[in-house]
Amino acid sequence: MTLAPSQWSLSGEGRLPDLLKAGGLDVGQGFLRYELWSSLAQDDLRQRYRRTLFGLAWLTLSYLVFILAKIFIFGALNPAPFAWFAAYVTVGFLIWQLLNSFVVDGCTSLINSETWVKGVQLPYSTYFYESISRDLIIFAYSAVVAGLVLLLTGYFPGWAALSVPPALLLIILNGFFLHMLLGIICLRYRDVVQIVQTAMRVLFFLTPLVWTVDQVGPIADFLVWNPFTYLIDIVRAPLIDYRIPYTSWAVSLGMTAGLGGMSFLVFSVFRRQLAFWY
Amino acid sequence: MSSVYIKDLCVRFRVYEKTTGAVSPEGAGVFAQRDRSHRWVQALTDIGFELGEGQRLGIIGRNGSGKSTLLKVIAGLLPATKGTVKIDGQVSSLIDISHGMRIEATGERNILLRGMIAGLSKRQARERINDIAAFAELGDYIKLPVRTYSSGMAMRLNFAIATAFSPDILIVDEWIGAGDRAFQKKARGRMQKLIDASGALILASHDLDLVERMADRVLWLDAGHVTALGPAKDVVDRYRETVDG
Repeated sequence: MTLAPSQWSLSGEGRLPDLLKAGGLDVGQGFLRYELWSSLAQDDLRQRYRRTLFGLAWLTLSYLVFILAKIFIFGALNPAPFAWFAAYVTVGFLIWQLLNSFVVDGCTSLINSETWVKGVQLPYSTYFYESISRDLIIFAYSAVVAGLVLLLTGYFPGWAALSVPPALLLIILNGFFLHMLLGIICLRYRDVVQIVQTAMRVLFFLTPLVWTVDQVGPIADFLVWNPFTYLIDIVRAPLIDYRIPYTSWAVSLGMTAGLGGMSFLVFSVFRRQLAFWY
Repeated sequence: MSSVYIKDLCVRFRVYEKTTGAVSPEGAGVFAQRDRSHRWVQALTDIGFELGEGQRLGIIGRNGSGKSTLLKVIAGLLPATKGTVKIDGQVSSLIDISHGMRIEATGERNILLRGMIAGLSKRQARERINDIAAFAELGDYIKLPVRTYSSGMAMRLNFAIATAFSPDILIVDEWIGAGDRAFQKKARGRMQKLIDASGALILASHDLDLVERMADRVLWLDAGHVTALGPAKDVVDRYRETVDG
């Protein structure tokens, strides 16, 4: 048995329903190649840490060093209790790092797959799944540090923590949509890669990660416009404040639906042309 | 069951480079434009043919005439700008066989990955490692990264992988061989076996004797248009007359 489609047809002028159906098939068939994209993701990372002594453990180590520096520098500036602030920074930054990698890698997933797109017939979504699972492996190695910090600071998971797995799923879903949307747009308009990377660097400072909302005064009013605030809140609040932030959940769900619809439309309409955009 | 049905196929490539001038090489795709900032190269125009079970089609034409583009469309690597492409059967293309090779991964790992790309499950691909490695004659080098291979060895591995999974429809861009003299003979035998086993063959080549021998029908492309489509010998003879004057 083979998983590759053995019967297909491509007609030049597609009607929208046909395009959407083909887009959906691409997403579904790509997912079914999980053995392939998970292997490719592992290879990508192994290659990155090839012949290093610690290998992938570098991901944990570098996150640890990075987060300790952040806790001690920004903790000194923050009036909140030190243990709470340490947990706040560690969890917040963990989710930020994941979202940031979804956005940045989403931009380049198709661009970097050029030889594959041109050389082998795979559903285009395969490249999104590969990139997302690579980001998730990195996330898992960093999450070890976050778990340790939570335990050391005495923040043991309570009932509210049950909402964390669905929150992570929602974030991963957003990651997939970001890949679909940005992957296509960046392939066609390469400047968008630079625009997005620059924007993410600025957004880092505009997201409550190393500072708290009560610290910044009037700027806090602008936070309602930052989508990352909500996605981080739905993971962080249950873990460090033992509450489920319903407003953030509502906003996150709404955003995900909007982003999902838009990205699926863009992907379905333009995926047929993307091989010409290299 | 294997069949290929192509009707009114057009493919054009957008030109992103800011160039002026509209002279294309003789026999190659011509420039088309709407205005100064929207330019294309018309690679294929109104191509149509059908290919059924057991049939062998040869494609000939000058450099840039659209042979590879047509093969890529049939292989599902390029979409049609206009027209209909219907494929029934598992397609395998030997267009650029080095695609998908990861030089940092070991030979074994590459066999596994390429097998999965070809549509096998991980377990099925793993079962094929030994015979592919044996065919490539790499010994225990197969456990080293491909980056450490000589270029001839890498080609041998590529060839062994690319020709290991027999498809319903085989697409070949130029007859490929690999390796040193001893290996080339083996490669020829393997290619022949693969072709014999495939349900349908599409072969593009400049080797007219080869095309005449392998194909029963030949499609002659010129500047993306079909100049002739018919029995192999007739079309090849006409092409020879035109080229040799």
